[in-house]
Amino acid sequence: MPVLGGLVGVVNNFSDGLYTVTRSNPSTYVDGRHVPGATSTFSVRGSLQPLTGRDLQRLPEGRRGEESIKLLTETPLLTENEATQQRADRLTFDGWEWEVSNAERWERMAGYGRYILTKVKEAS
Amino acid sequence: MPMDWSDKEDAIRDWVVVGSGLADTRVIWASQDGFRPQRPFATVTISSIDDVGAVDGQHTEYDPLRPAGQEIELYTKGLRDISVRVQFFTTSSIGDSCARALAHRTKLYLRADTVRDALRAAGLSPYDPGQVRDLSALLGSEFEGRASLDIRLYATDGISEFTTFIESVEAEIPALNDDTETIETP
Repeated sequence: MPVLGGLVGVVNNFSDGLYTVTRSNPSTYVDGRHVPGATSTFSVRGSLQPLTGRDLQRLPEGRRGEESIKLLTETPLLTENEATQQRADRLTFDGWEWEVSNAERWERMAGYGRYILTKVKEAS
Repeated sequence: MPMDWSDKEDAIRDWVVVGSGLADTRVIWASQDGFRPQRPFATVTISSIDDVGAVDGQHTEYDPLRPAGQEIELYTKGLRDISVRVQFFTTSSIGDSCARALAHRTKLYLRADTVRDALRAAGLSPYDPGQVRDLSALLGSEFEGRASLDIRLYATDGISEFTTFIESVEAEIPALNDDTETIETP
């Protein structure tokens, strides 16, 4: 039970919809050629909000000029993990795919996570 | 006759796997979307393809057994100089398993008969085993062993087009009359 368990209710009250998230299995190499991992989709309920200046500072320097948004949700999302060859989760919004580039995990404390997503490409 | 890149890529990569002693999954082609494998690993790049000589040779070959309309083959064929860069990445920058050692071992295996036979079967002939360069550098707060090996190989390349004989020619003789006369080849 999160220490501040009531906050997830607050986050859900601000939720503005259900969003589709695509998660990839770790990719592999076959004969030296990259084989992307299989993907699956699921829905998350959350609150999409614009970034503040402080949020932008959390992004790597080379990505601060890219369009980004933040999502508050109780569903844990994954960032990129080179050690496990795991790609970051991607959310579909407004006809585009947005990749999770930064995560603040407040699940233990308050039952929700706060994620920064960066626009990557048009949704197929 | 155009280059079969898959066969050539596989042969080149097989040489690196055998020569370096790295696991198959640790030798990858560079410039792909995937993550870098865990170290030690190597990346391979075909960095350039140059023509050897001013023009390719042009040849004509006749085979009556080919399908009608394609009896004559017109083909050009030439020699290509292919440069391959192999880069090695290891945790250590010294010792028997450092990047420099792996690169040197891989270069040595370019002289092995089995390796050369496999490359020849793919239409590749290594002629310049190149140089090993140690490029170890800081990655974060630790040094990463890095080395580069550049080699050059010859391969042939060309294209074919097919045509047939001229069966008939129509010619007008306007000076004499307005008739046209058809001349057929025997």
